[in-house]
Amino acid sequence: MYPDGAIEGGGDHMMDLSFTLDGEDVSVTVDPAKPLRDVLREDFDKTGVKVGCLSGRCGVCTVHLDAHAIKSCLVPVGKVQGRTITTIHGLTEGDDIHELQRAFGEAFAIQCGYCTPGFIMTGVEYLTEADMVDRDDIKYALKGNVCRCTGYEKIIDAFEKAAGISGGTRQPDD
Amino acid sequence: MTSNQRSSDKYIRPESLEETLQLLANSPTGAKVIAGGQSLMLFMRQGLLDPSQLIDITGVGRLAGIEINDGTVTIGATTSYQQIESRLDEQFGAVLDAVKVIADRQVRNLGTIGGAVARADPALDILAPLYCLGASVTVRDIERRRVIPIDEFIQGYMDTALRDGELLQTISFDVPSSEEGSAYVKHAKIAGGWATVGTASSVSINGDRVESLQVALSAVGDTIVRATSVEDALIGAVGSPENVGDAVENLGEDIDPIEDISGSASYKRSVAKNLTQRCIQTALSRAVGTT
Repeated sequence: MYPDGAIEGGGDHMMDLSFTLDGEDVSVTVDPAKPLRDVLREDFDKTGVKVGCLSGRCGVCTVHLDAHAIKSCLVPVGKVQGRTITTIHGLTEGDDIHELQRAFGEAFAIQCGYCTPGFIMTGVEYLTEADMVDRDDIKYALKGNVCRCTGYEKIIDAFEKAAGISGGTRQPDD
Repeated sequence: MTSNQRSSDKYIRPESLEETLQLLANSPTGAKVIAGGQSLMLFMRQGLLDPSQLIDITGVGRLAGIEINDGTVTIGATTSYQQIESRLDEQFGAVLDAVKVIADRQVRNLGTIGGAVARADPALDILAPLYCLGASVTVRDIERRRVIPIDEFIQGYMDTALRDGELLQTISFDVPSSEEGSAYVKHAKIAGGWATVGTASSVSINGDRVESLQVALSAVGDTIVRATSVEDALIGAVGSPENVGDAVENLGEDIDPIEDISGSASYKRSVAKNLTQRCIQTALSRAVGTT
């Protein structure tokens, strides 16, 4: 049973899939209907791809499918045959961190940290594509990622910082 | 896939329209077409659907892309909201407005216009604009092709005219003229959430008079609802804010929203009036060219 309890999986329906995962060619034999999120976590130990809600809403499972940020709980693994998946684990090489990750640290945009990988994955796509970045634009880009801890302001500060605009960090009595 | 990889009947990716239609003609009961999967995966994870086969149509060229030819826009069923947003400009006011308020960027990267039309939930934002634009749907099976106006294709709550073996291929509508303007306005409880109410309108003007008007609402009935009383009250009249306000007073005759998690019926009626007024005003400004 999968975490949601609904998709049984296994049995006669297993198929071989091969795809690129965080820069590596991988393969797996799996029920193609199984959510990508669960395959990444269970078969490939990519536990930075989180489980957060049952409604496809929260965005903690966000990864990149080819160039696009997507919610991996809403994609059947069968869809990724021959394609490229990047998780938070594969965003950078070795000990490097992405400037958005650095900005999150500097802006104190992390409390429990559970939502952070999802925000980073959505954010990297957004910042790569965005022509113009302001707070409203950032909020709009992050609609699919929920944070229960921070109240979002410092997350938005981090994005401004990463985009190289304004000072970023807010003082406690602002 | 390489030849020594195990394939499965459960997940098939046809490469052509012909192959897809063959598969549908012979598919087992419980086979489902999947494009973006943004609705389907949720139904599956919630235990509402358990397809015996998934036919992934996103590799079929003839189901993809946007063509604008001879005054007609034809959008392939597997075109994602993100692709629509990058291809269509402000001339397509209502469609573009709707795409921008659908869910969030992750969902829009994969979710498709064909998926929405096939699902036919009246709260899906892309639908009301398509009603206003008089869109039609082309469906195919292995034997024939049918072209169906969208308000006939959608027959009820999540109920369409799609028959067994049929596939939704494209959605088409006319390119708006320069005397036309359209808009979509939505109210949702949460950012990126389902519409409590949404209004689309498309208007054409002749001088300062409203020559034609279509007003369609999301999430206030089993299907998208045309606000014909509002339309009748404004067609032929001067498109002034006062006349728009007066026309919108008739909205109560056209809609019958139900109480649910989004709000009471009276709340929805009140929101619907405000949104409809705002929507028609914006469409008019765009028709005149001031927005």
